Order: sequence, then C-alpha cells, then structure tokens
Amino acid sequence: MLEQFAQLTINGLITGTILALTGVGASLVFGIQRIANFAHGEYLTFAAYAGLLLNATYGQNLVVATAGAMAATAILAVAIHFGVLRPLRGRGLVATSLITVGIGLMLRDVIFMVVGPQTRQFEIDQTAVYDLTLVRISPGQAVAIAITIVVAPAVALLLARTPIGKAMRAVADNRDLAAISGIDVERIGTYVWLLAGALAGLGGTMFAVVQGTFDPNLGFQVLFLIFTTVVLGGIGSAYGALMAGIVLGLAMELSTWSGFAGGLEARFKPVLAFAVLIGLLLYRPQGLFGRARVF
Amino acid sequence: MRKHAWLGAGFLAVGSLIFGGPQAAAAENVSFTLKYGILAGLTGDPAPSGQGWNESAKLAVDYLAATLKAMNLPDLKVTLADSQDSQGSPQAGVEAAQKLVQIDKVNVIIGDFYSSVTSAVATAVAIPNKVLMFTGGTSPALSKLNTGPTPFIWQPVAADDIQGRVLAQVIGDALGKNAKVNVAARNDAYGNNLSAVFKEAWTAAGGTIPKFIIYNHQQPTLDSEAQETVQGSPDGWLFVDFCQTFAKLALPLSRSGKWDSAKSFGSDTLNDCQSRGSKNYPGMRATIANASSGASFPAFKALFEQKAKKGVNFQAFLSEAFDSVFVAFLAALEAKSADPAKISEHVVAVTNDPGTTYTFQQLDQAIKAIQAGQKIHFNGATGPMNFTANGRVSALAYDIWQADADGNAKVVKTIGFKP
Repeated sequence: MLEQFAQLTINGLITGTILALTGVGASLVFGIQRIANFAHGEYLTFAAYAGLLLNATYGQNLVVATAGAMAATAILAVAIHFGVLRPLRGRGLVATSLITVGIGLMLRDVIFMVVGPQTRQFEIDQTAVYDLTLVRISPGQAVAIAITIVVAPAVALLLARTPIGKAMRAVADNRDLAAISGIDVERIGTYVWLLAGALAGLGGTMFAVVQGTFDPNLGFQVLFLIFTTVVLGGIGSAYGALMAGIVLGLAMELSTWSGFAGGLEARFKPVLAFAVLIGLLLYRPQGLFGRARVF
Repeated sequence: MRKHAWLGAGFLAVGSLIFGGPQAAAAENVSFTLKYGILAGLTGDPAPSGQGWNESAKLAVDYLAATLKAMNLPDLKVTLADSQDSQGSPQAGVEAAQKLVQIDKVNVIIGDFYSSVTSAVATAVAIPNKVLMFTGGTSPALSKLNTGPTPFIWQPVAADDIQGRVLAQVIGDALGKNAKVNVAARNDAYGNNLSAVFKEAWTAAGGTIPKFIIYNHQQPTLDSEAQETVQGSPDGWLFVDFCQTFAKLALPLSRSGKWDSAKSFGSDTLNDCQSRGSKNYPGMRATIANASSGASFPAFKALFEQKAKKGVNFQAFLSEAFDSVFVAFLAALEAKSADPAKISEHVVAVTNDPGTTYTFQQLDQAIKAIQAGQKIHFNGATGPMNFTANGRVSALAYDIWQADADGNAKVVKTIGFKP
C-alpha cells in the first residue's frame, strides 16, 4: 500500500507540474490579454510534434528537442497574437475566446493532415525502468521531473524577481494602473505570449514523453485540465496556477489510492478534478490565489 | 372497340407478369442505379482504421462497376456518391449521414464501424429515411434497432454479446477455467458492454475477476489505472480498448514490472495494433470475429494491397466493408430494385443456402445466375455470412491473433463457436 502511495504521488507530481507550467502561461494570457485561449491545448500538440521532429528526424537529444519545441511554440503563439488576435482586439472576451476555439480546431486539423493520425513516440527507450525501491519511473518521466525541477522555480523567480516578471504580474493585476505607472503593456503583452508559448512547448513535449505515445489529440485531452488549473489557481494568478496544477495532479492520482477508503474508481478521476473546482469556487470564487474584487 | 383493345392489352400484360417469359429476358429489363455512401472516421482517433474502411468499400464499388461494364449491362449502375467523415463522433456522424441521405440520396450506407456512431445515425437518419446501413459496429444493441418489419441495419460481423463469451472460452482454454483475470476496459458503450458480457460468462464458468477497471481513455495519462490493473496477483488480463488509447495504458503497465503481455488478451479492436498505426505487445492475443475465414479473403487482401491508396494499412476487419457492397448489390439485383426496403427483403436470400456459392471473384457468374432466376449464396471474404432476418450473421468463426517477439501479429488459430 505504501508502494502504491509513493508511486501515485510521483505520478501525481509529474502530471501536476506539467499542468502547473502550462497553466501559468494560460493564466497570464487571460490576465494580461483578457483572452481565454482555447487553442492552448493545440500549442501543446504542436510542441510535441516540433520536439519529435528534432528528436526523431534530426537525432537531437530530449533536452535540445524540448528547447527547440519551446522556441517553435513561442514563435507560433506570438505569430497568432500578431496575425489574428491583436487585430481582433476590442471584440469582447466571448468573441475573442470563441475565435481561439476556431484557431484550435484549425491547428488540430492541420496537424492531422501533416502528420497523420498514427501514434508517435520520442526516440527514447520507453521500456527502460529505474527501480527506486518504492517507485519505478521511466527515463522519460525522470527527464520530465528533472526539467520541471529546474523550470518551475525558474518561472517563479522570473515572475517574482525580474522587471519583466513584475511587469507581467502588474499588468495582469490591473492593466490601466500598470499603464499609467509607465509599463509598456503592449510589449508585456508580446512577452506574455512568448512565455505562454514556451511553457506550452515544454508542457507538450513533457506530456508526450510521459505518455510514451501520442497523437494529434494530445493537447485537446488536457485542455480542460489546464483551464481547471487556471480557474482553481485564480484567473490571472501565475503563482496560483503553479500551485493549483500540482494540487490537481496529486488529488487526481491519490484519489485512486486503495488506502483512501478503497480508492476512487479510476474513471472518476476527472470528475474529482471538477468536483474540487466547483467546491472551491463555491467557498472561494476568486480561486486559490486570486484576489477578491469589489466593483 | 377501343375499350376492348385496351382491355386485351391489359390482360396480355398481366398474363405476361403472372406466367412470365424466360427469366433471363425479364431480368434484362431490370434497370436501377444503386447509390452507395461511405461513413467512417477519416480523421481523429478512428482514422487509421477509417481510411482503410473507406478504401475497402471504394474498391468494392469500383470492382462492381468494372464487372457490370465488362458484362455490358448499362442498365445496372452503381455509384459511390461520397465518403463522409464521422470523426468517430455520433454528432458528426449524424451530420455526415444527413448529407449522404438528404443531398446525395444514397440507397446504402457502408459504415460506420463505431457502434456509437452507427446507433446515432441509424436512429436519427437511416431508419427514419428508410436507408440501408451495413455497419462494422459490434454492439448487440445495433440490430435491436430493427424494430419494424424491414431491417435496415445489417451487421456483417458477430456482435459483442457473442465475442464476450468467445473471449471467456479462449482465456479459459489458455489459463484454466478457474483462473484470476483482471479486466480493464475503456469507459464507453463498447468497453462497458463487452467487458460486462465477459464478466458474466467468465464468473459463470468458475473464473474470478480480482480487479474490474473501467477507465476514462481520454485522460492524458493512465498511470493510476495501470497501477490498479496489476493488483490482485492475477493469472492474466483482458483489455477492451482501441490501439491508440491502449498504448497509453500499456506503457505504465510495462513500467510496473508486474504485467505480462503474454498472459494478456484483447478485444477485436486490439488484434493487430501495428497495422493500425500503434504497436503490438509480445505474446498478447486477441480474438476477432469471422473476418478472414472466407475463401476469397486472400484475393481481397491482394486486391487491397495492389489498388488501395498507398500508406493505408490493410486490416482483416476491412473485409466487412468490402463484402457489404456486394451483398447490397446482389440483393438489389434479386429484388430488381434499388429501393432499400426491397433490397433488405433479399439480403438473407443471397447470403444463405440453398444456392450456388459465389465469391466476389465470380461476381459476373453470380449476376448471371440471379438474372437467370437462380438462387445464389454469396460467400464474402469474411466467410459464409449467413445473415438472419434480424440483421445479424450466424456464421460464427473466430480468429485468434497473437503478436510475436518482434511485434508482428498473425492468426494462430481459428475456432468455431456455438452460442
């Protein structure tokens, strides 16, 4: 039972940190650009295939492939921002968010057309296992853990200590106040798309590696979990998204632990995620780290 | 006088209809255009199989059209109106089928091979519009949709209520009737129904199921499901899933160190995952109904490999789509009409004894025989078919597939099953 608990904890942490990192980007985009970007999931899919291209076709290792995927996805996010979303600014939250649904569908179909529906996998040994007594993890999971151990604190530091990070949080908190304080909100808007794209790139590659095999539905499968993370953490709150992702990942996995009253049936894991969300929002509508607003 | 002339002509016409001239001469006057539509998941999860389904049905229509042309029968025409993408989704399937029925005016729909899509399309489109459907779906609920006097839904493959019992028999033969078998099934109509039938058959025969797991296959990772699947020290496993999503479960299963693929069995959708764009697991077995027991199966396979679009993999179950096209046409020819209701009345007749046996390789002879008023029994690439009046086949042969150490899968045994 202890072994199962340890394994579920590791699994939950891996899923949770990936959700956290991708959730930070989506949350900041909402806070700064006032867009619920429903194409965010497809950014993850795009990243997985960009990473695969570097890894399988050009023989790059996983770290280089991940870095390349992050760069490519960041460019994609900025290109969509300048090409589609910025010209449509002022159409309202609902209209713009619906447009992102369309962008997501288009991206997904283009990926389907280009790469086909077959499952793919990175050129790493998917059958190898590191047996650490209580837990067994694959090389892919180990890399995911290593990368997130580095990147998650780095993102937190970026937001907390650097002028750009502080400016991002300021714009997310109050765009008008930030603007009259001298912050170039347009520039910050571009930076936030770069950051969101890069983090989606990281998340997409990591999900693909952790899943072992993936297809063009990869991003769509996690889109609602990402948005749950964003809402749970408090819309627009980067720290909230970081914490909420980890909480969500752990809650979903540990809910199936047999020591927890026999464990929840696995099929109800996603239900639990949304039950947690609804329960929290009933008592704390602004989310874990969101600030209550008085209008 | 003029009135008498009309009466005389009328009596002559009625007399000729009742007593008939030579059958062949009468058949030569038969004229119809049979319009087919294909419905399959051409994108998304079902695409690896859907593309093959589409190619298979197209091949059959082309083969049929070429045969009619070679026989110089210009009054008998077959056309493929369109191939529509259901995306494996009931909603998209209904929209696609509405296009086929309302715009293209098809008489016969070949597809879908997802039970969920077939069920929605049958209820919302095919049955209300009196259009025939030949489905690859294996849910036993599908043929039960035929509540009227004329069946419009035809299943050219044995349904899951039979498959569940076959799996129990096969696993019992391999592991012993009292073995402990963990079951993991996807959380949809297919997974729930088939696993439930297996559970009933398995436990009734004395076996036990320590863990019965229904999982949400659309989750990004299935690690905790894999953890649960290896608990209870089972002697073997049964998986009910599709290849694409099963791959997500198989990896954490392998990592657990407690899973043995050689003691694992799969449903018909896991029979050869390598050919469906995924991978096979050494030693794993799967059963599939009646898909390759026909004498013409090798010829169909050769035709597919020669003529199908490059990059579309061959799979045994594609013969269901291939056979369905011929069955619909031969029934139409015997009915002398492209009216779906009339075709339906002749499906049983052309797929059962008595009658001279023909395969698609003797299609011209089968056509001549029907034109001559003779009874035929069309044998498909899938086997003898033997459709019953409720829309299901009664010829129950099952192939057991097994993957070798290199990941290649092949049929290792074919068994008969008596319900």
